[in-house]
Amino acid sequence: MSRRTGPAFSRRTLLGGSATAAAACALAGSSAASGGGASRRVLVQVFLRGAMDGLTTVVPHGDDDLYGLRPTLAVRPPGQANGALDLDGFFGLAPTAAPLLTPYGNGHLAIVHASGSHDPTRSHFEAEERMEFADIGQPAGSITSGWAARYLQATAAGATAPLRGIAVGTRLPLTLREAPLTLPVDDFYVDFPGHPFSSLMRQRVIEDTYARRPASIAAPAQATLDAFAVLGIDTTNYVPENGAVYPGGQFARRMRDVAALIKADLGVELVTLDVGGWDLHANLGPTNGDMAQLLSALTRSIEAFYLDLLGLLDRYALVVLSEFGRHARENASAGLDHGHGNAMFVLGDVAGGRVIADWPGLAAQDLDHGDLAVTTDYRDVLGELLLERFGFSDLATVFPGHPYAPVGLL
Amino acid sequence: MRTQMLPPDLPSLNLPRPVRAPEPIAPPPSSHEGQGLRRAPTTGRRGWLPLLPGGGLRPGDRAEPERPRDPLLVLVHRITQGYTQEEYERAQALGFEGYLEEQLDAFALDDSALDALLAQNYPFLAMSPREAYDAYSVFTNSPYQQLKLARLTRAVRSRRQLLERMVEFWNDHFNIDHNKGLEWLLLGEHERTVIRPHALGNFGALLSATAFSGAMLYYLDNWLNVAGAPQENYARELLELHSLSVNGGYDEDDVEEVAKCFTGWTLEGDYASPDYLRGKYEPSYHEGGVKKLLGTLIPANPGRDNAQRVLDLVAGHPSTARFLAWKLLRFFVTPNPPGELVLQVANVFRASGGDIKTTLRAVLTRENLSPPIVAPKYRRPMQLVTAGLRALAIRGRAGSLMLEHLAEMGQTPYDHQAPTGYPDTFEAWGDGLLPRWSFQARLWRTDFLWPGYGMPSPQEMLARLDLTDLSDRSGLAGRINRRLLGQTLTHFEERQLQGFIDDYPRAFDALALFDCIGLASSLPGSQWY
Repeated sequence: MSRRTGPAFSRRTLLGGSATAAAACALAGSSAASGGGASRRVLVQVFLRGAMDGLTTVVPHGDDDLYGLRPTLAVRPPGQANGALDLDGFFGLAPTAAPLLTPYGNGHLAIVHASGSHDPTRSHFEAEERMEFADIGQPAGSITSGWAARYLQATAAGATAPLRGIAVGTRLPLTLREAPLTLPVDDFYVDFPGHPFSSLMRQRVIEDTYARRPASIAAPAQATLDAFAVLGIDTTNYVPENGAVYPGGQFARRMRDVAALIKADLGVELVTLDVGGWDLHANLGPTNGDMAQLLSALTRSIEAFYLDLLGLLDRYALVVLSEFGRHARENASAGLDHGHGNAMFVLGDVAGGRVIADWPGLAAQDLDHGDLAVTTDYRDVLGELLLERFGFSDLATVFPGHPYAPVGLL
Repeated sequence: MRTQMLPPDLPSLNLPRPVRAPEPIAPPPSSHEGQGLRRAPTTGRRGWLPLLPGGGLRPGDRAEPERPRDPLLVLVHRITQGYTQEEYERAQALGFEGYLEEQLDAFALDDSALDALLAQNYPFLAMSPREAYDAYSVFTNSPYQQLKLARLTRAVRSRRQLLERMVEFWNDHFNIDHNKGLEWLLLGEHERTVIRPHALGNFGALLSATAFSGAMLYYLDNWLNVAGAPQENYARELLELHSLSVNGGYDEDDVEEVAKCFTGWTLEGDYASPDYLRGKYEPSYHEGGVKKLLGTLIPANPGRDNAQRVLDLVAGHPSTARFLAWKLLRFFVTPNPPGELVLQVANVFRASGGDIKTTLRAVLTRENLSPPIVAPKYRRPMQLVTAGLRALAIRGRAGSLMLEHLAEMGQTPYDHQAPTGYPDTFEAWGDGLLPRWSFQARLWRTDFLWPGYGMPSPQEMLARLDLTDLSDRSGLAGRINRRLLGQTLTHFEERQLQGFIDDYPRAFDALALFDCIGLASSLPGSQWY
């Protein structure tokens, strides 16, 4: 990246589309103008930290064993008070996940149930690391990068955007560990801080000194300096389209910003968001408590994001996943301990409106140590997206040691 | 935001009732094999060390400052919340051992002036949960805000700098998030009576104090852990995060047994009691029967003692010693502690019966703080903010603007949702430079109003740089590096800074001086300590 030589251009013009983005890059004196990542599809990962309970969110109301395992916590079958919203006669959505019916009904949301990571651990932090590094079965310590980082590394040749990945927030998740040109950013309108009259000189000293340091700090420093040139999205005055209404709260605000980012077409290819609070060992509240509220905030945000980008289905794919599901049987504190299999969601131009599941059943002999078994590997969901929607075939690099088997998402 | 803090079921807490009659416990199987139970992997993927990948810099990286630093200077950097010239000169006067012993004997240091300032401004700190509940409507700052601002101000201004480092360490190790529900009432007493008194005391006593603390019982749900269907949240994190560590040699059966041992430890739900919301043991919730943990039988009676037996077992376990030795070495010495050193410190820890001071003496040695063992530590946001405020030498209290910057950087006290606590690796923080630069630029703008901080005048700042005026700016970068930053900048960075000073685009006044200090604090060297 060449150094910026003049005063910052008015970046508020950026939010107009690829033409203005390219012009802005040219103004910034950046090589990104020569093609940019403009109009590359953006992969958005929403990671539900703490183990979201997939058996509440997508209720297998057709499996009678559920009601034996969870006499008080299972969402009741469709038609009953606070019952599930039926999807296909066997699965249904929790009542407060109703906003997902909008993309589901349009065929733009696919649900993959009994999915997840085959790693047997029930530790959140082990499970997240295995899932985000996608290193199951690999020699210990042989893999130090996230799967999405390896995807960005493997596609570096064709990429010219100054910023390729964004973790919305304050830190990169393990998914993006060692990702090139990737930063944690929580505000998409950034300016170089401090006195304007010394700004350029200070940037120069920072650029020169960080460049002398190892790549592990020099690269994010340069990416940050370059980000000032492109990240000028006026999210404050952003107006969602198609009647999309984002609810309140941090996650909704971030989803709205990501929608604005996708429209701005800056060449960012990978975005991650984290949502915590799902570790509900006590008082789960599937229809009127904590879980219900979390689902409401999550799904209303997803619905708004979907409507906002209704005309741009070919420009993104959004995946929602969690490190594992929760125990099949409820505990005595009206909560659920750690489990295994879970539900994943894929939003975009997929063959949606379906729950894809090789349903293992919830009878005692079908459970994996008391938990829903994993019959679909999460890497196959991600792999199919990368292959079919991102034109990326080197799946062995991203998911080493894993023989790819299509899920049938598309 | 106040409405968010209102607890749902106060003042009469709905305490759990056993929903099923306790079932008689079958004698524990002699072997886990063939029970059809899931086991935690016993052959750890990464051995016993809970290493995050990389642990430090990537292979081939050499990010340390080029300057060799004497062990005493390193000690000042590592056991304080930020270098100051005054602290270093005092340490020089006391010598390495003398300074370390002074800091280890923290409560002998008089901090009464600061205590009084904090007590006057943050009354929540001294209250019981019941008192805090009653005082809620008269607080001008929310309890949580008081707790955070007090933490930050203590970190910056306390004479007990090593104690504050250990408070930071243990608050991460025994992480509690204030956002879950009742923690906002409980954390003041928790920090005051659980963390601080034991931070430099005995690990076993600290572990027990955390286990029976209302804040921990609430945060990890043990207050709901009752006979019949034990609630394993606390049990799992006790083994995985507080003691043995994830590959420390326990399995899923052990998690369940620990949960059974802890049934009955709940919260006082009676508002009329002065112990309202404090931890208590309720025998009728306890699951009877013999339990077995790590191969050791725990007798059924007295049920109340089951939990303490668990704590004693895990506190004295070799995996706990190794885990804490590794974690303390990483916190104070190097991102990648060598295996032999970990074992050496672990042995000291065990031989001393978990004495934290004795263990720290084995961690903070001249040898460990010298090459080749010592390695640069990347500043976490908290360390960046406290070091900045210490370099600025504020005389008042830290304000909420600092908390906003900490939030932008991602590390406000008691805000980490998962029980792991904030990460302590370069990899976790190394990409977030933007809010760091913003913080430094903001901190060092003298045209910005800082009510309550007690900002130094330009003349005071000049005096601290050993200057009388700004007529001669040659060597100013070196003075900033030595006297304000504690020699963290490399020669190259110092030269670049001097170039900026020489070519400063405006008259070189006090504002310019502070601008230069802000830039110096944004350079790579200032990200490590």
